[in-house]
Amino acid sequence: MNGFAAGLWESLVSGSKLIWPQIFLTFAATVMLWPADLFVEKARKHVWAPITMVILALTGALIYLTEPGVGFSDMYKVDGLTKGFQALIVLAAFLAVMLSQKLLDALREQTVEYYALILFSLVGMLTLVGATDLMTVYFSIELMAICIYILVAYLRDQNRGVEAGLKYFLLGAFSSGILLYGMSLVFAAVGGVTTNLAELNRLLPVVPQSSSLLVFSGVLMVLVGLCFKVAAVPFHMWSPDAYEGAPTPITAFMATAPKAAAMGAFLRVFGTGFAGVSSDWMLPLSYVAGASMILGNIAAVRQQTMKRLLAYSSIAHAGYMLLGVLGKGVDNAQAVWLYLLTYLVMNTGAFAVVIILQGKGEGERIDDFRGLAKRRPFLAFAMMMFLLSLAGIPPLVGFFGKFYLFKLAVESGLTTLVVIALVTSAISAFYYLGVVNQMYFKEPADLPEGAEPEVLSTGMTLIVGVTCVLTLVGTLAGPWLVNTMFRITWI
Amino acid sequence: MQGYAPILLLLMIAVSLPVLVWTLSRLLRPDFYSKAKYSTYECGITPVTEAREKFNVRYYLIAVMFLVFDVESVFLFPWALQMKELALFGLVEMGIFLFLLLFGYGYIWSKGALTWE
Repeated sequence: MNGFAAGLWESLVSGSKLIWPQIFLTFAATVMLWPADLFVEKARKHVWAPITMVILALTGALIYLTEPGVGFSDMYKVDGLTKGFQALIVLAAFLAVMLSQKLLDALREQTVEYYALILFSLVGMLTLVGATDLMTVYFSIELMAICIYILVAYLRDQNRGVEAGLKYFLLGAFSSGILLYGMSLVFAAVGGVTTNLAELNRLLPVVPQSSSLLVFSGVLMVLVGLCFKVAAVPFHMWSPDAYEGAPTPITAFMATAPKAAAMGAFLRVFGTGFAGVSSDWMLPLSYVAGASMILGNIAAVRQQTMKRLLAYSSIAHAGYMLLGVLGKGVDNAQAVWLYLLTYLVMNTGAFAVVIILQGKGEGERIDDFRGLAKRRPFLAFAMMMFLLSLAGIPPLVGFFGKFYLFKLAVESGLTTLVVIALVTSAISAFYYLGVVNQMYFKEPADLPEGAEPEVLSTGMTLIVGVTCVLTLVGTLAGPWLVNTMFRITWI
Repeated sequence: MQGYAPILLLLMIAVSLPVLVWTLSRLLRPDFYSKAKYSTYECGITPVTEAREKFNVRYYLIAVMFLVFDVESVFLFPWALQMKELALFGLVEMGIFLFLLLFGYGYIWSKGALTWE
């Protein structure tokens, strides 16, 4: 073997140690699609849900066992940030699969593709949070997004789902183009020598005056592309429609896992790659963050369906999380991780309640929550806890995450934005409490006989119960969480 | 900007040539117009309907599959040329690539995408 090939071989062998979770996922999902699916009868496709959960649990173990390191010519890195966000993403996927099983049974839409696509999109997300090169960032964003476009349009017999999928796909493809163009401008600005983030951080601040406009426009376009992925205003237009049209478990998945992955990429690209030229992107990004909080929370007030309400609330939450990106430090990244973890818990809980009430895909209007406390006291109480926690009311976990994030943002000198965040949080309490009002102080609507939803199973009850308990007493685990959080670092 | 002069020249030639040919033929040809002359193709089969029509979704499927395997061969050629230099590394990389494509092929086969009717 000559030197060139030997070097490549060496890099492949040493690098593959870092991506065992992704290799395992790719292999498992591929074999699931073919030939394993041939041996499962049509009526028994629901067995794929527990199998997927086992695969996800094993992936989690692999992530835990992966040693930190750098590989593939510095294009991929496993460090605290990578592992922390990967754990979040796998957890989100696990919960989404758990939520899916019963609903897909009720809709008679169980297929192996659904679960395989979740796993494939996971490969993209896991790579995205460890990407230390703009090329890796781009290709893993694409891998993640393409699978999710299909999942959004999964209920292909419903016009709403197809419309949502198509809208998301067209806008997503467009934003990917902008992202890629921005990357190529940055690449050109540094003289066409590297797309590596650490190298860019060294080269970008010292580009000649004549190229500074190139850097500015390139960085802004990358910003736009990533803002689209986290659904921040004004690049949020796709999200309420996509959230509403997608199967509800996928909505829960989209609100957590891809958002966590895109946030991880945001933190790494802007925290380590473009940190040297922060004067270029600080102002635009603070406008984006402020606009997301304001518009997300105000638009949510007028929503009639629960899924759209949660979509707008997730836009607002993306705005809060961008405060962590603006803070630029490792401690801000840790706060974003903590926020995402708490958001994952309460958001999944809220979506689980929506799925239970939604039954076979009809009732998801806020009016359907009328008098829930009389019909199903436990569900109503759990939903109230999730909503109060999303609003950030102490002592629930939502407050814990928010407090930490805002405290660090104030210390980073983002006082104006934190004031906006606090005021809009108060607005958000208004619409969250509006739902609580419907549940506790309104008479139940007359349900026709036999119209009681039927998407209730041990798994669903378990999710609602566990997330509710975590929302209630999660703050008690605060010291442990903070300790874990401090391991989220980039070297 | 100096290096772009040949491209400008090429552009000018590319624009002027069709204009020239078109004008020449307009000047030289005899002018006889009839209804048949205005139809889309003045020779061959008479068009039955408009060209814009819905057609079977299977054509898209075939197109996508063609694209996948076309790209496969695009990657196979450079590998075949550099096989000695890439040695074991190239073999393993190509093996992974072909393995994934093979499973994809099995998948579309088992889904019945290859059977027409």
